[in-house]
Amino acid sequence: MTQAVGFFTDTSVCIGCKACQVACHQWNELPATNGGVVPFSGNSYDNTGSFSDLNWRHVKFIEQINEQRTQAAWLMMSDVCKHCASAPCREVCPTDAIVVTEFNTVYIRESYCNGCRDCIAACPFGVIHVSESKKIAQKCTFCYDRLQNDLVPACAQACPTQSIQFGPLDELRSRAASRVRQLQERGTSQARLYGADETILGGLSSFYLLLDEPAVYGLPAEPKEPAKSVVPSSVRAFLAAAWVLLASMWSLRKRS
Amino acid sequence: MNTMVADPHWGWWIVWYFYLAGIASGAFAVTCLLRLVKSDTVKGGAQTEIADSGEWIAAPLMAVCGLLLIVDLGRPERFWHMLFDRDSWLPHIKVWSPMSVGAWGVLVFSMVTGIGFLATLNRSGVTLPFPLERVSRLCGSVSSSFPFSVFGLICAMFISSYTGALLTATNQPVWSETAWIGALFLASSVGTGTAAVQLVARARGGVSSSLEAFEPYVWALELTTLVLFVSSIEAESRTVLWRDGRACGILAVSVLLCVLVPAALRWRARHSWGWLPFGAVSVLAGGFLLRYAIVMAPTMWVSPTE
Repeated sequence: MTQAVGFFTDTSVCIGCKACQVACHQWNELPATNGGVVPFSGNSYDNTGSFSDLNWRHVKFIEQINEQRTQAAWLMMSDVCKHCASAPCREVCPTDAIVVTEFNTVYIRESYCNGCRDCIAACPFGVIHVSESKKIAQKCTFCYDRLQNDLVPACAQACPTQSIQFGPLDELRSRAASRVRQLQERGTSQARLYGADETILGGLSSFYLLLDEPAVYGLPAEPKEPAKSVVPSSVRAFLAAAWVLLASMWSLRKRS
Repeated sequence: MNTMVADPHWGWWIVWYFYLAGIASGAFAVTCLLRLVKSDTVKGGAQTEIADSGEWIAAPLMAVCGLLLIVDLGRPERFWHMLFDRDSWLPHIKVWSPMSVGAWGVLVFSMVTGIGFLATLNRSGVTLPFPLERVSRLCGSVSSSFPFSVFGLICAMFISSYTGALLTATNQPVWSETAWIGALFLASSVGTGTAAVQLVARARGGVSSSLEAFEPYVWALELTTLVLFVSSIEAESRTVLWRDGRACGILAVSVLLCVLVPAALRWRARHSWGWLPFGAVSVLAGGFLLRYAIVMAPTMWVSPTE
């Protein structure tokens, strides 16, 4: 029987080697952008800048230097699709192209997608992009093909520091909780988990141990579930429609 | 404000779709309202041209809208995936997805406007080939019925507002911060629809005085929903909006064209009715700017990181 699996990314041990990015490209046969010629981004060692249709993993480099330039910290984080329990992309997808797999991961069925891009607008993490060649939505598959063959996802397999840990979700969550405790006991009071519990989109199958506020890593503190806005929006539209109806009854009848 | 989102690249096709679908739904709503409220004068009376004008406008515009939506897709040949399951070919709908419900809404509304269009052809005495002639006669009897007008009005109101709900049901800056875009689009749709009906009715020799009493209420709704929209977005977004001259400029010009210019022309029209078409054109231009400003808001005003 299959079970829910996930990624626990411990950013405290990430060294920014980008082995995960390379492994992702290699396994998923994602070609290099611009023929492999990548200009300097001007943002530390970040050479891809963001997620894209060809970059399903993105290693972020955050340089923190104080005003006096006497202290510096260098945060690194290998970012990926969060495979949310209440995935906004899946909620809004009109063609049912985005589904939850038997491993509790979020997967795009390419043959269903028609490139409407509603999922891109809905994703709070900027994960999904449209492929320039296929013209459909693309993102991390959680190496669905590898999971089906009892293999560890390529990125987790390649990570040399165990920053990306793969395993059953429950096990990862308890491991993450003890790691946070360990770091806090050693004086890293800023250590915290992001997405390990259900407060963010019902829980993330890819969750993180961060060493600063989520915003520092470019992660939204309170991402929204799009479906929850449909009723408030509809109620307001209904009120406007009621006004139009009343106004027409008043103004049009008056003239007759 | 979440600026880490990716840009869905909903560009000109979508701006034009929102705009034209707004005019079509607004015009059809006005037709239905006239039929429901002024049934005594609409049926074969002085208001016939005005009521028919909405039906002349709505169906061709919805046909264009369907094409715009298909062209905007990355894989246009798969447009039917919006409505039917790819494997079973059975109809499918996700009630919590505005785009899924909207796709069905567009289909149903297009059919409703098609019936209205054929009915108008029949009433106008246009000679149609054999099967169409029968169909148009049937449509003629259906379209002037009370249930059809009620159903048409509901469909029109849905089409004019679901696009706003669709934008709100995202995580994009500005769009996701307010639940008022649907109401604002509805108000703008009724405004632009009324203007379009007036222009077409005038061209067809109709009298549009009944709609002129209706217009100030629409202007009031547009202004109110616009104020509610701006005041309900996050303070950070509002600051960006305020600092960016383009944003303020487009919104200000939109208000000017949608409300102030037609109101001023209305005042002037006490002396000369010839000014009124300019007011309608102004409303139509303002409605386009409003759609442009809101659809482009996340990229134009906040520049999310990609």
